[in-house]
Amino acid sequence: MRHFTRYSTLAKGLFTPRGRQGKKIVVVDVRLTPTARAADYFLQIKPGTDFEVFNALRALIKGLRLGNVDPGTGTVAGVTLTAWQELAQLMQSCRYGVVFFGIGTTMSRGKEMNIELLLTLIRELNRYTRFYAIPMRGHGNVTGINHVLTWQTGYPFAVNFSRGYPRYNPGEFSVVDMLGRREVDAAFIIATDPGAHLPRAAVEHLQKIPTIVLEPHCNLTTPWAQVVIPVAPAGVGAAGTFYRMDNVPLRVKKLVDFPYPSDEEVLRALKERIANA
Amino acid sequence: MKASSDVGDESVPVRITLFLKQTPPVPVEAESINPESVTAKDRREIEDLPLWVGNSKERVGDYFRVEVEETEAQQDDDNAPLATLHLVGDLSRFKRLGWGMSRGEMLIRGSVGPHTGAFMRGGTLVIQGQAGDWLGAHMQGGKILVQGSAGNFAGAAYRGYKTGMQGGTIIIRDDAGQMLGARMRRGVIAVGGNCGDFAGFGMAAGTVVVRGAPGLRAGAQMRRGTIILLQPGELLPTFYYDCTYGPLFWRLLYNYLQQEGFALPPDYREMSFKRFSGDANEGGKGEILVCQSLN
Repeated sequence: MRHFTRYSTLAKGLFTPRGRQGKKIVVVDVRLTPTARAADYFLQIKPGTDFEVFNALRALIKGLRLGNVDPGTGTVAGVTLTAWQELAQLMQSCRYGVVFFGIGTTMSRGKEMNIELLLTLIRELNRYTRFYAIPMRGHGNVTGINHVLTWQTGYPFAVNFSRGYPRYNPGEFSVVDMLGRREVDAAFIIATDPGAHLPRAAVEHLQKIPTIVLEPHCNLTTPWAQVVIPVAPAGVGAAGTFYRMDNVPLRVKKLVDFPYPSDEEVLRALKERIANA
Repeated sequence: MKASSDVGDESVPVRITLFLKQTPPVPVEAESINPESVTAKDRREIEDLPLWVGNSKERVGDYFRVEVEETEAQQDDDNAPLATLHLVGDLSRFKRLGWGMSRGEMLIRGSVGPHTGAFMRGGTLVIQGQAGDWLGAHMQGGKILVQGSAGNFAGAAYRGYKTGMQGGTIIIRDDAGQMLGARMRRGVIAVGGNCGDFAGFGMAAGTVVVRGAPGLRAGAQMRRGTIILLQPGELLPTFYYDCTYGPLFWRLLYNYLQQEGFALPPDYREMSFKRFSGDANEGGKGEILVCQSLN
């Protein structure tokens, strides 16, 4: 809701002084959600058809016909061709458009190919108007690790350092896949809760190997982790920088003294111990 | 045939067999294992070849028992005798086997991990088991024969690259995963079973043949090239029907595939196809031929 009220839908700005009234909201989803109820248009598509949607929109924006879709009664992804034509027209004619997408697109059938095609669509829309695509991040400061890894290694995630230099290959070096294939023999977990978020096979393997966790709270990982180092939560007991999902860095202050060190202090101490071992 | 433990003379053709002694606890990167790197080496030198086990460097001898045997004379095009390399065991934890090999023969009796035969430029690689992801990625020449199934991204391009396979032949007897031949530029890939989604994704040229059921979105974003589906599949609406015909080149391709060990029934030779051109979003110069009937 905060995104809705403060940033995307209701917010007023220099070029949108009328707030919600000056904007068109289109929701494309597999089910009717509270967001869809607040939208101007809702297109309910079949699950796993994101790629077909982006492919069709791209063709319509380029003025191409769709081969096996009847112009009058045909559908793409369960929605009529007429609706997609109206959406394509709306996207081309707006002054400033943004596509917000989430794990419904990134993790459904097609995965990264959905994103590749979406970004190609956005690139082509920029021939007509100003258009962006912004991923909706599920957890706090996911964008932060993407930023740090990118400026340090050139890659945003799934980076492997086993040969002394960074290598990137999602699927081969990403956490879920490596744990699922039982390729990991020790884990060091910082500021996340794999017990709550990873698939069962991955968590079961984590439970079998030495696991060290830096965590200010009790969560679903800490009961079975072999070592838990309590740390001060960033923004409360320690200063730090968060990255908002639109890539804006936000400095957070320390509010109260905590009996525990910060993540940074623990990591620095561990690094010195290892270097001097 | 006689056993020899210290063959070091390059003029003597040998067969080198590596028997897996133990499964490594973590993935192993084994690009040092290919016919060229073992040719003209004795057993001890082969055992000392490096392997990356996790983040440490270990030896081939730590995981394999090495046997070196003299064999009948076998010479490749430039008349230099080459070692024939055999690997025995479940090597699904070994990555990059046959990486960049340019000549010779490598036979693997067991399953292999990812990147097998990637950047291969020549020679023959036979896998008597399952192959992992990225089989023959960026391959430029030679032949890979998988007598089982292959994972995702066979013959594809690594992320960030525009061009995948640029030559050679990959034959997969059973199924293949997603992104088969993605962004390939030249060469032939034939799959005897089913394949996953996005076969021939973004391909610029080359030929992909799928005998079984194709996944969704075959040919998505293809610019040129040919995908031949011997069973009908659902195509994206950015492919347009052109005609139904019996292309002459199919007979040549049929003969070539038979010759390379890809079994097809004799009546497939005279098959007619529905031709669809696409992907229209990318210019529409690629083609998907869908089996129409057996004449």
